[in-house]
Order: sequence, then C-alpha cells, then structure tokens
Amino acid sequence: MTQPDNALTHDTSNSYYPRLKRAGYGYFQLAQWSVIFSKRALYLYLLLWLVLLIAGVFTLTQGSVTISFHDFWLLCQGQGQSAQQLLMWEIRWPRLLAGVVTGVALAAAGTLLQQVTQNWLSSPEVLGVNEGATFLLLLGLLLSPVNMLGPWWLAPLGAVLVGVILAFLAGGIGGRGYQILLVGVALAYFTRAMNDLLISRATAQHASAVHSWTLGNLANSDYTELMPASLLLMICLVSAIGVVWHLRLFKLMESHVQSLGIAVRKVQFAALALALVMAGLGVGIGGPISFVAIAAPILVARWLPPQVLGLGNSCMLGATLVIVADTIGRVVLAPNEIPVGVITSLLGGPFLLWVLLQEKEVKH
Amino acid sequence: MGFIAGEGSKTLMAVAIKVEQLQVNYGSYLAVDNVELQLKVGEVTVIVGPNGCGKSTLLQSMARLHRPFQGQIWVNEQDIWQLRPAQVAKQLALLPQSPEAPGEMSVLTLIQFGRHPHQGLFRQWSADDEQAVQEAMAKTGVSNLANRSLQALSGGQRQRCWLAMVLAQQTPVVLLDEPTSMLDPGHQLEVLQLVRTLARQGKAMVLVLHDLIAAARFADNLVAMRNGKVVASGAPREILTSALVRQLYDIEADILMSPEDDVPVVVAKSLATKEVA
Repeated sequence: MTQPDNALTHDTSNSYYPRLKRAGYGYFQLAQWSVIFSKRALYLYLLLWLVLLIAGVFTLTQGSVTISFHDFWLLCQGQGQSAQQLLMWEIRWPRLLAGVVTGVALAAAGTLLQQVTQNWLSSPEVLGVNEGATFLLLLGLLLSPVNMLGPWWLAPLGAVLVGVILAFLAGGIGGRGYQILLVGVALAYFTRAMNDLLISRATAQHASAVHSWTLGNLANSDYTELMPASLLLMICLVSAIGVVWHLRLFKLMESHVQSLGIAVRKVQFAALALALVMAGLGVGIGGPISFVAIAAPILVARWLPPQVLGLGNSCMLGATLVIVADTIGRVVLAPNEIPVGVITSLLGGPFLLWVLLQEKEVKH
Repeated sequence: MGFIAGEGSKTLMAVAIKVEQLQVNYGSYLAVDNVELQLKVGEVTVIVGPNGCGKSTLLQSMARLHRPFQGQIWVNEQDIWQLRPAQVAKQLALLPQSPEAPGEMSVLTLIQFGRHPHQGLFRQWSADDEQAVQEAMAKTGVSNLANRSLQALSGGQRQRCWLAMVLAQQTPVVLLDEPTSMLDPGHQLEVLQLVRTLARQGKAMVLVLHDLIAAARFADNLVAMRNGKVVASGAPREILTSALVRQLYDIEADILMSPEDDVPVVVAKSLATKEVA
C-alpha cells in the first residue's frame, strides 16, 4: 500500500483525505460540493433507522387486535379485509406517524437547547417550554367547550411565547445560555402551576382526560393535523442543519467560536427559535411527552465522537423511544392504555441512569 | 532591527493592523483608553502590563469581539466593523487565554476547526483545507499526534495543537493571549521560537505575555499598558527601563543586558515603596 498522505502534492482530486479517513471520517464530493461526516455517526444512524423500522412494524401489527405478518404483507399491498385496512391505515398508521413526529420534534428541540447552553440538563420540559405549549392548548379547551383541546398549532405559539418571556426575563441569551437555563427552571414551575389551575377549572370528566393527555397521547391523531405538522417539522429540520454547522463549534469557548467567524448570538438565536417551534410542535401532536427531549441526545452522545452534534441520530432515537413506549403502553394492559409519557419515564429513566453509571465505571 | 531588513521580502514592514484612538468600555469602566497602535507584518508584537490593564481586551477588540466605544481598527486597510465576522476570521486568528475543548476530541478534529471560516455547509473539505491542516501540523510538530485525544496529551503538546488550529486558519495576523502561561521553560521557548519563525515567514504575530524576560527577548515591538493606556512602545532595548517596570507593576527591578546578545533582562527585586501623601 502506498501512503499518499506523505506526499505534499494535493492537486489530484481524491488524494487529500486519507488523514481524515484514518481519523474515522467519511468524505463525499460532487463537483465543488463536499461533505465530511463521522462514519460512526452514519452507522449509528442507519442502525437506528433499522430499529425504528422494526418498531414501526411491531406497533402496526400488535395491540388489542393482532395482525399476522401475512395479513400485514397483504395490507401493505393494498389488499386484506376492510376491517383490518381501517385499523391499520386509519388508526395505527396515523398513530405511528404522530409518534414519529413527536419523537423527532422533541429530540431535535432537546439537542439544540443542550448545544446552545452546552448543558445536558436543558431541555424543553426543564425550561418550561413544553408547559407553555400545553398552556395555550388548555386555554383553547377552556375558551371553546366543544373541542377537547385547542388546535395543534397553538402549541408552537405557546412555546415561542415562553421563549420570548424567557429571553426577556433573562436579559438575552447570555454566555452559554446560562441565564436562560436558570430563569427557565423557575418559569417552568410557574407555567406548570398555571396549567394545573386550568385543569382544575375543567369539568370532572374533562379534567381526567386532560390530565392523561398531559402525560402524552398519540391516540387521537389524524392526517389533517399530521400533514401540516410534518411539513413544518421538515422545514425546521432542514434549517437546523444549517445552524448545526456552526453550532458544532460551540464546545469551544465563546470568544474562540467568535474568532472563527461565527456570529455567536445569531446562531444561538436561530437554534433557540427552531428548538422552541419544534418542541411546541411535538407537544401539539403528541402532548408533552417527558424524557425524550432530554434523554435522546444524551444517549446518542455516548456513541458518537465529541465533534458530532448528533441531531439526526437523536431524532431517530427520539422517534424510536416514543413508538416503543406507546406500543408497550397499548399492549401491556390492553384494552386499557398507559399514557406514553409514563412509559418513557418509567423505562427511560433507569436506562439513562444505567448508561451514565456505566460511563462512570469506564472512567474510573 | 537588522535581522528583519535581511529577510528581503517586499511585504515586510507593511502595516497589518492599525488601531486608531480606540476606546473600549465595560459599562462605565474604560478598559482601553485612547490606544494608538501599528502592528507590522513580519514582526512579533508583545503586549505587557499588570493584570486588568486592558491588554486582553485590546487583543479581543482587534479580533472584533468587543465593539469599541470609539475609534477604529483597520486590518489590511479595512475597518473590521465594516466586515462580516467570517471575513474578519480570514484576516485574524485569535487564540484565547486557556482555551477549552472536550478532552475526548481528537487532535485532527480540533485543528480542522481552524478551517471553519474557509468552509461552508456545502464545501466542508477541500484540497486547501487538507493542505492548511497538514502544514499547520508540520510547523507545530504535531503530525504524529493527529489521532490522539486531547486528554492524552501533555500541556506542551496540547498548546502546540491549539497553535496548529490557529495556524490552520491561515490568517495574515495571529493574536495569542498568554500562549505560554501554562508551560515549562522549555515548552515556552518552543512556542515563542515558533512565533518568531512565523513572523519572519510573513505573518504579523501579536502576543500578550506576563513574562517580561521572554517578552524582551522575543518582541520586535513591545507595547506596555497600564490602566487601559499605552505607556510605552518600541524595541525592548530602547524602552525597557527600571522606571517603566516601576510604572507598570509598582516593583523595583534591575535591567541587565544579557552578556552574549545584549537583550535586556528584567530582574525584579522588591515592591516599590509607595509614597505616602
């Protein structure tokens, strides 16, 4: 084998990345465009897609009524009994989609918030963003007794509203977003209390339904809200890719990041805005499912090299977490359901703890 | 100054940074007060002064990190506040004091970060990037550390990696805030010699140092600051006097000339006795 990286000539097209290659990077070039990526991140991403796919098939076929794999195959081809068709395409499929949208949105929001503040503890639920989104939905409920809750798009509005209040109270984003984190924790308690106040104003049977919704609920999703929500999520995610390109450097000191030509405040603002909208969107579709936003990025980071932000990976993991939790919640006590947020916390909490403790042992 | 004239390049002595009537304040506190400076290509400029004299602020202002209250900073005849941050980052690189990065990060990844101003979302790696990173690693002698993680390095090695990152930025002006403060004398010399070599190769190097002996030895242009003002500037052997040291640090010191090359050496003796009014 020749060692082309020892040569100091770099004019030939592909001879200039062996060093990167050995450092675990992949490289892709088309005309003047080029992309580098961590191979480990790519492999994990593909693996998570596979896991999500399996979880998806599982959630479509399992439940109070089980669909056999043979029937599932027929249904995928547009055949099968009409009752099963209805069950799969009108009930379970939108529910699966809602789970994916919620999981992706919350995990993406968590990733961005954690990176802006460079703090694993900051997530939309800790900062009160989810509570703000919930607040507007509950307000919708109170104002129009016909609807269960306000329309889904009230939730992103509520999240952004909380963000504006947060930024105002914190007097800006601050170095490493530290102020935002402090004020956010305090604000979350207040918003939570407001929500409880609203719930207590609802009639008795409403109140229990609303309370179970605040633990996460994917059951009532339909295409009329899933379509616009997915579209908005797509737009946010594509924008987030541009933000992540700069945000990946925020592990350095702020003055250092700035000296690399990055407008720090603008990037922070963009990341924060995207995080707020996505967190609200997730809440609007699936309810304020706890744990996903904070845990997915932390878990993913254990497997990724430190320069990789892992937005794509935590989105996949977030979706998988929600789907799996929802399926478990449906199956375990069928025909009764356990709210998805209860399962995510119940299973996710110990799992996260296990991962963190394992990390500690390795270091000692 | 003879050693500079001997280099023979036409760009030598061109002004890289011009600071005009610069005032920078934090709230009501004036950190940099009416500073005028000209920093030249091919020279090592060292800024010295007591803690809190505004030298780091001056350095950061030159890197466009603080918007000045008054005055201008020109980099290669362009006002830095007329440029976008990314454009400034192609002219000026700054290594902050005690920089931080995750310990698990690999050396190559860190150095690669220095290429950020030259890259884009759709132009993440080019032949220029590879060449710049290789050159930076060769100059700082970290080529064989490329795949090591930062936490596995000694302080001296790590500092050289930070320097490599700054060099990979390939800017005509390099600003270093106390690049030697954590290093033993051997590694200090290594860094300072590299700084001098880089200057001779055509960069304008600007350092903040606390070590007056090193400053006197490696500065072509010494800038002494106190209370935000430039007290003296010029060649060390012309401006470095006991009086200046007393004025800067309130200490009594002897200035000796080193026997072989006639470079001033500051020997601190005692705190200056304060006059009681």
